[in-house]
Amino acid sequence: MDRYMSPSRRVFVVCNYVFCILVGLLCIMPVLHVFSLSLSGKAQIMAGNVGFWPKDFTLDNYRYVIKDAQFYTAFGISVVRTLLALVIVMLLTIMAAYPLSMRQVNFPARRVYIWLFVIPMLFSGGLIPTYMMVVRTKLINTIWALILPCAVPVYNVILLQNFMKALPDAIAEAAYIDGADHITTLRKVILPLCLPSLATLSLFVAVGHWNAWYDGMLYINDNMKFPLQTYLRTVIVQVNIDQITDVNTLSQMVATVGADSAKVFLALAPMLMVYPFAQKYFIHGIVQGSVKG
Amino acid sequence: MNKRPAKSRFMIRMRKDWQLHLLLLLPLTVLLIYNYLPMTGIVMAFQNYKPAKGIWGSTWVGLKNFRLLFSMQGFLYAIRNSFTIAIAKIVLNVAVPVSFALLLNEMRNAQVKKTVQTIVYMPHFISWVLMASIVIRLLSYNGVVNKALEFFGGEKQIFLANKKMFQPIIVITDVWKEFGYGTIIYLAAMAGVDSDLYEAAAIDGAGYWKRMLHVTLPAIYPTIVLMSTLALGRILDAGFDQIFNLYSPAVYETADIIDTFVYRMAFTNMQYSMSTAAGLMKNVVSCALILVSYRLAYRLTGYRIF
Repeated sequence: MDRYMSPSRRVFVVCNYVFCILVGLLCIMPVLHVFSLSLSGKAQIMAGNVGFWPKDFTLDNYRYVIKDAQFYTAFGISVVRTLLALVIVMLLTIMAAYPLSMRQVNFPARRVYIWLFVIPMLFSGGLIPTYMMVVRTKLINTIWALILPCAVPVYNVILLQNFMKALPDAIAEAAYIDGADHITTLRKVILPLCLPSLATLSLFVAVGHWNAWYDGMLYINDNMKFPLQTYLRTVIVQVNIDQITDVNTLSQMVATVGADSAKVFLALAPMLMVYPFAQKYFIHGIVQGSVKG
Repeated sequence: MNKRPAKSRFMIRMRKDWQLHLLLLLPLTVLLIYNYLPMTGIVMAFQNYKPAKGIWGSTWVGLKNFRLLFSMQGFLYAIRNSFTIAIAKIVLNVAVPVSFALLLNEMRNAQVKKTVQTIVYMPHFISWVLMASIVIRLLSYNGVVNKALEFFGGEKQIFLANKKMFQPIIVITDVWKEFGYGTIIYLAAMAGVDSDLYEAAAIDGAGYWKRMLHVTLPAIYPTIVLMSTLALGRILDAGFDQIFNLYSPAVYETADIIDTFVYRMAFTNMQYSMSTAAGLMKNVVSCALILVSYRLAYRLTGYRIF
C-alpha cells in the first residue's frame, strides 16, 4: 500500500517485530529448557546451570530412558491406544454421522436420533456412575477402558454430519438413482468427498488420545498398564509437587531431572511433529461448526 | 386397497431406511452403555450410598447430601474458585489472542508472521501433564523464575505452595498455553477482510490506528462475540486437567474447583453420594448455561452447532 513510513510508524513496526518475536520465544522456551536439560550432564543439572542450551552435552539420559521398562511399555501402550482409537472412533463417528446427515423428509426417524446424540453433550451421569459402568463392563485394567467409554465423541459426530449435510444433495441422489443403497453411497460417494474433515477429526482424536491421562488414572491401577501420560504424571508431576511443597526437600534438585526431561521430551515429540500440519485443518474444523444445520 | 396403511407405511419406510438404522445401532449402543445408563446412577446423589448395598439397597436421604455440601467450607471455596478462575480465563483468553492477532496482522513480513504464528500455538498441543512438569520445574525453588528474581534482587518464592499466587499462576499459564490457538482463529477472520476496504479507508485519510479500529476490529467482531458466548457455557469448567496437576493440599483453599472437589470426594474420601451430588449440581447449571450460550450465539451471530 504505502511505502512511506512516518518516524512514529517506523518505531512501532520495529517494536512490534521485537515484541512478537519475544512472545514467540516465550512460548518455545519451556520446551527448549526441557530439551536442553535432557541433553545435559548430571553435574551441570544439579548445579542448576542449564538454561536454554545443553551443558556437557550427553545422550546418557536418553540411553537410560529407553532401557526403562516402565517407560517404553507405557509409550507402547499409548501408541497402540492412539491407533486403536483412531480406527474405532472414526468408524463409529462415520456410522453415526451419515444417517444423521439425511434430510428429515428422507429419514423421519432422524428427529429422534439427533436428540439421542445431543443429550449426552449436555448431561452426563458423572464421575462415579460412569466409573461403576466401566467396572461392571469389566474394562478395568484393560486398554479398552481407555477407548470404549468415549468411543463416540458426540461433538465430532455433529461436526461431521454438518459437513455431510453441506454436500450438494444431487450427489447422493445420483447414486440412489443408479441403484446404490445407503452403505454403498456412503462408502463410494460420500466418504471420498469428506476426506478433509475426516483428516481434521482424525487429528482431534489422535491428539486427544495421545495426551489423555485422566482415564488411565481412573481405570488402570496396574503400573505396567499405564498409558504414557498417566505414567509420567505418577513418576514426575506427583513426585515433584510433593517435593516442592515440603520444606525439608525444598532446595534439593530432584536427582532424576535429566532422565525426567528426556521422558517429557519423548512424550512431546510426536505432537511437535504433527501440529504444524494441523494448522489449516484445525481452522477448517472450527469453521465447519458454523454450517447451518 | 390397503387395509392397514399405518403398518404398511412403516414397512415401506423400514425397507428404505433399514441400513440407516443399522449404521446407528453400534454408536447408540456405546452411548447407551457409557452415557445413558450411568445417568441412572444420579439417584446416588439422593441416597446414602454404600457400595456393599448397591443402589437398590442403600437408604434414601432426600436432599441431605446437598445441604451437607453447602455446609462444607471446602465446597464453598470450590464454587468461588471455579468462578473466579474461569471468568479470568475467559476474559483473558479473548483479550490476549485478539490483541496479539492485531499486532501480528500489522506485520508485513509474511515469513516472520507465519513462523511466530506457528510457534505460539504449539503449547496448545501439549498435555497438561507435560506442561505441569515444565511449569513445576520453572517455578521450583531453584528454578529459572526464582533465579531471575534473585538476580533482580527479589526474594525467592515457593510459588506453587503460595495461596495468594496460585490463581494468578493458573490463569497466566493457561493463557500462555492457549492464546496462540485463539490467535490463529482471529487471524483467519482477519485474512478474510477485503483489502479494498483498507485502501478506501487510507484514501479517506485513515491512519494505521484508525484502520485497525474501524476496519479490522469490526471484521473480527462476530468471531469475538461467538467465541465469548461459547465460552460462557463453560464458565464452571475452570480447567480440571491443569489444576489437578499443579495443586497440592497447601493451596486447596484457593486452588480447589468443583471438578477437583468432586474427584477427591469420590476417590480420596470415598463419599460417593456427596461426590455425585456435587457433580450433579455442576452438571445441571452448566447444562443450562450451554443451552443459553448456544441460543445467544445463534441470536447474535447465526452460528448453529445442531
